[in-house]
Amino acid sequence: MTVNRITAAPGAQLSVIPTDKFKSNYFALNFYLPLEKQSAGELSLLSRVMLRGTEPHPSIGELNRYTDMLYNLTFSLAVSAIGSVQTFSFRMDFLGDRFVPQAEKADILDSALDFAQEFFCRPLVRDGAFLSEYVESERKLLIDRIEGEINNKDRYAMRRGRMHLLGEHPAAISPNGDIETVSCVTGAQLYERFRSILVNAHAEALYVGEFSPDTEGKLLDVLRKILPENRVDAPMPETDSFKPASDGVGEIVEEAKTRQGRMVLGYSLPYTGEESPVANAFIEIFSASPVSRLFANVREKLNLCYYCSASMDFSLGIMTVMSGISEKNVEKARAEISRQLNGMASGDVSDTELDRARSAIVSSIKTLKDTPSSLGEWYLRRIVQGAPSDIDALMDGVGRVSAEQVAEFASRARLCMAYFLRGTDE
Amino acid sequence: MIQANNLTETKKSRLLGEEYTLIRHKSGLDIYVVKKDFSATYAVFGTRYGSLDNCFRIKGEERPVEVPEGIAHFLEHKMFEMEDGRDAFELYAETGAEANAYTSIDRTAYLFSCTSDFETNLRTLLRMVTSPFFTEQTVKKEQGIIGEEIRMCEDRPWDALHYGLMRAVYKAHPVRIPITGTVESIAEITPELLYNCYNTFYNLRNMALCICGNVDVESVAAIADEMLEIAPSCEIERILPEESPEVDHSREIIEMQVSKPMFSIGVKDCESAEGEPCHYEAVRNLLCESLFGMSGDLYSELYESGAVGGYGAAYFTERDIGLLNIYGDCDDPEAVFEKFREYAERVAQTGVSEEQFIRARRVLYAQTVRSFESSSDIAEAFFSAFAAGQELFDYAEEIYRVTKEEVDMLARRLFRPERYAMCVLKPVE
Repeated sequence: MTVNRITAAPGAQLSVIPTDKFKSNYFALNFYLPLEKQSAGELSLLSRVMLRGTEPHPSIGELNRYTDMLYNLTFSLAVSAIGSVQTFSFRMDFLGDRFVPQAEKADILDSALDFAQEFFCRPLVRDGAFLSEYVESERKLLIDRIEGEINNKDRYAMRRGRMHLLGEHPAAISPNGDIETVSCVTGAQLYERFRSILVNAHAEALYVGEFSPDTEGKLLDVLRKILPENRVDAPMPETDSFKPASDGVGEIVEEAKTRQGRMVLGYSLPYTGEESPVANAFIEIFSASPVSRLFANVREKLNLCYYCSASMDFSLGIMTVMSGISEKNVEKARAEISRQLNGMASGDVSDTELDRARSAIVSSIKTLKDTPSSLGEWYLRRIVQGAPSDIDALMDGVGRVSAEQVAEFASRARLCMAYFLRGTDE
Repeated sequence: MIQANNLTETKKSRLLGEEYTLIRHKSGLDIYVVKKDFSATYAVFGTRYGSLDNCFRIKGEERPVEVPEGIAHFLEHKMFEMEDGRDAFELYAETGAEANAYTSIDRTAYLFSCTSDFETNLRTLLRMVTSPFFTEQTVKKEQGIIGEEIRMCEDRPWDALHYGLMRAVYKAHPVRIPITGTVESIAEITPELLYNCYNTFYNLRNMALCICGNVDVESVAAIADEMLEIAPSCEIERILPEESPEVDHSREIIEMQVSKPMFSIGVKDCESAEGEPCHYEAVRNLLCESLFGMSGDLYSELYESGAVGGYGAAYFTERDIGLLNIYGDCDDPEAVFEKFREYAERVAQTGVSEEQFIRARRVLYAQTVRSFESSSDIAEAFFSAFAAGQELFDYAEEIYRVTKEEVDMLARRLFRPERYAMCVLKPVE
């Protein structure tokens, strides 16, 4: 895989992965800034308001009709977080020019780049503020969405569990914003925030797709029109890893009207970017597959639940274990999860487990190359995490992981928080 | 007549820039192979057997067999256990392959994705799906695990909304019942019932193997020759209740812990594909996209007026199920329903506009082309087409063959009040 990395503007890089392997092309422009309560609320609302229209296409209907005529060009503007870094991401996915039916010739790549430029350079703004009608209706919809987090019990329990685990750490802030902030943001503040990120936020652009000699020039030209000349050379914000506030285990129980309880266990698990092969091997053996410790023991052997799985937040150095589980099985599941983790920490990691983990990780890394969006998103995430993104070097690293390294890594895990969403309809 | 040798044919699509080879294997199995330069090779081996198949008659038997709801899904869970006590997941894990399975209303499928040792993994797949092994003990264990899966699904508002709509639209059709069954129905499952269903539906003549990746046809055929025995003839009569064009009841109201009301509108379609499944599906998808897609007039009207914050729309055409579905959340479901009704009946009078139709055609065409983007998407698309009795490459062509007049005619036949139903999820007080 060839990645051409070019400085597009101060504090803004363009990465290009030329390939004609896919039928569609992928373009992303991401902005990164520290995750803070006020900016999270503003950016979350801003992303929705900007999707309502541009100056040339001033309504959602006109915008959708225009992009659908471009053979279903799909685009999004979304907020998310990687550790305590807020991302504000514009993404487009569009059909390769060579797949347009011959009778209907169209230059979709050129039109898509024109559209990206229109989206950022010609937002629907009146007197220095986004259109109040759109701000008000999107404010209501965003508040509905924040209130609607309770609808998905898995996601809700995970969010609550993480919040309790992280406490005062900035990563506990929801990138979707909170109702209090969203309720009082104005269209003028949104426009000011929009201008501010264009000037002050570190930016990463990425293009994966068909490539001709002038493609790079076109991409740079569009980016230089979107990014103002007075841009600050902002570095990528850094995430502070999580440090537990105390030595104890916080026990939290909340209730919801559900048929099944949801358990979230939160661990601190310190990690540095270079250790990613070891961390991946650990999580693979502990939880990632149907032959992992948690699946084989908590589900298959003890039959305590339908799912029990762990995930690591590499940016923060935390691990969460989640299960949909009846209250009567919670203690048994916790005991088994601890038993498996302690077993690995004391060196009980077999050669078979390690071989399987290595094969699975190598396979998942190779598979990244198979879709433009998975390749692009993975690459951008590695940049934010400061982790190596050379795929071949990564696979070599996985081959060198030892059982001792995995055991040592497992021994760092410390349970800090146990959250249970009790189902009142069980 | 039993065929003595494998027959192979290659088909190309100039429009999609794709080609595949179909091996009509002497065992009775259809094997689709798409050679592509992807890192991952994906194989799916499945049967036309899903949650709808709860009542069937085997040729020669007088009485139909009735089995507990959720048994197809239960069987899927049990197929990973092998007679030697090993779990197929362990075999896949030795090569780093990722394996899974799923059950829908009309099919059950077993799959893996790997970047090495394809032939080993293919042997594992063929062996596990052709060697059932069920005992009282393992069935009992699975009842507990699936019971938890059922409870998990019961907490999902979109699942509740979907099955609520199915109960409103259909009078007695098994599509009303969750694919997983219920805690009570799966308690009735025994090893004997599982073997009975397996022997009926897991006949190679009722199944397909679809593979996409860096593979060659000869090695796939050689492994099939080695692993598969010639299947007996397969004639299954699936017994489904007759459904009239009218819905069972127009409203289904459910209370649940949700932040605001959710709605799901259904329009019942009882017409059959009549030998042209690709054309049938293309007409329906063009109608759905023209009228209810994100660039359709209803979407803009509802969104701009603040009535909804977006909605989804889809046309289901599995087996004998034809259903146009529009779903989302909103403050006032009845007001949304009324807007839908006025819009649909207006279009039934005026027809879709030329502009809407061309746009929808471009959207569907681009989505179809882009569905050939990864080994998993491609292999799954072939398996879906097999399950639906379609020739996959024909679908993209059909999108350009359908005329606006056909879409208008369907709108006139479909948009009638007796075919409408809505399920509403109301927040609990």
